[in-house]
Amino acid sequence: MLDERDFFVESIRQCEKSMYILAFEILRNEEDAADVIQESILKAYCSLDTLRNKKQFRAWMMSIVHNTALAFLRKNRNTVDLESQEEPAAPETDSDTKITVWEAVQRLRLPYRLVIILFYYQSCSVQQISTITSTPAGAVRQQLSRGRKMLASMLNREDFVK
Amino acid sequence: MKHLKKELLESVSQQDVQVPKHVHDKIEETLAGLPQRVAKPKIHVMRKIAIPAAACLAFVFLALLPNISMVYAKAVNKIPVLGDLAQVFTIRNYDFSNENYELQVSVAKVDDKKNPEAGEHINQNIDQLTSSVIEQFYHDMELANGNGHGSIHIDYETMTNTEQWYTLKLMVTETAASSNTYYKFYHIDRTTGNYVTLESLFEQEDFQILEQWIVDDMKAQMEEDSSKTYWIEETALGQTLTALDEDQNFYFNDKGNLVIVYDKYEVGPGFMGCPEFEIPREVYKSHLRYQLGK
Repeated sequence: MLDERDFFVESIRQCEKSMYILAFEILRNEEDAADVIQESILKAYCSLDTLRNKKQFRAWMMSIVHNTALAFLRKNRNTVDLESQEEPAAPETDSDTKITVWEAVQRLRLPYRLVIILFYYQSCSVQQISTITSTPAGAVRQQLSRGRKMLASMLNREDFVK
Repeated sequence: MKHLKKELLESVSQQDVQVPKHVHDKIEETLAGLPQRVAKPKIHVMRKIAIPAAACLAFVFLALLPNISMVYAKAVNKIPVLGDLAQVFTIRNYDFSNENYELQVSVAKVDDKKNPEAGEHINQNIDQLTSSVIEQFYHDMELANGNGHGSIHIDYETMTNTEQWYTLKLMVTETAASSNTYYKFYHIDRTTGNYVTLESLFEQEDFQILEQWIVDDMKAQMEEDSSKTYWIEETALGQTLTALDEDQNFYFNDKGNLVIVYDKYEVGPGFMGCPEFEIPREVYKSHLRYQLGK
């Protein structure tokens, strides 16, 4: 039977990719993402007693990574609000350019990019996203709906081909 | 949109993001340095039993009972009967609270004897919306298994009730780590007897005129007050979030101006609340599909 430490290590390994994608999508920098994940792991290990249901480890861990990444942003980039974060510079486009769905997702701004990635690419439920991002479920559903509309508009406008 | 969802799911299988080696190594290094833990005994039996039991009891006594008891179901009429005007009643109240969760819902029923079909359409919509919110509330509470917290409040308000027009505003407030408020406006044109949406009043192409007015107003407000923020240029492709659709929330204020209402987070950050934009009568009047009474 796994002891507490073994359980923690194994669980972290299972959600390594999810943690990385989440941290990277907020920070857009590999080094910063690595630092945030490291800090999140230490925080989580210290507060493992607060996790009542081990089946919810992934959502619990992701919420710690999410909050740590936002704190990192505020501290290092003077960015106060996730919602006001600048969207990444868009690549030059012209009417003949075709973009993939993934490229379109990358052009979404936060928080739409994050909820689309968590929902579709990380298979998180609305409730899990609500937990991870500390956002009410209704707002998550709105953000998902808006994100999809924006994607549809982007892809139609550029005659998307997969 | 179904097509888009399919494309998204296909994209997921094609997009295989790999964790860079240096990030993976750093994680392994961190894990290797963790000290051994001593597991503390935990007692969750009471909580595991108590929370679902409380939810079940609350559902039976506080949610189910109002539906089968005449006493509970006795209506509270919020609007006095005034001649031929529509009436709105509270037909059910749902109340639940424990240490971490709270639910307060007043379910409205519109009774417009002159326009029963439009009234029934509104009542069905309200029933669906409140049922789905309440169902989600209990589902979320069960999933959280004692770890979560949250509250739901649903109430309503009659905004206009004349012989020409009826507007009911439904207000939903969800609170978890932060709060979200959204509204739903229902309208009856009592001169035609029809349930009215924005699309009933304007052609789709005229939505753009309203949208442009809103964008201009957003810019003017932000220029005048630097604390205000609206998301106008949404993407690199220049699309905006202000786009109106057929079910867009709106109402007419006492000046006869058209007020477009967005949900929280829809066109601005959370601190902007549910933004409202008042479009003067002279701007929208000539674009109406038909002239409204009054």
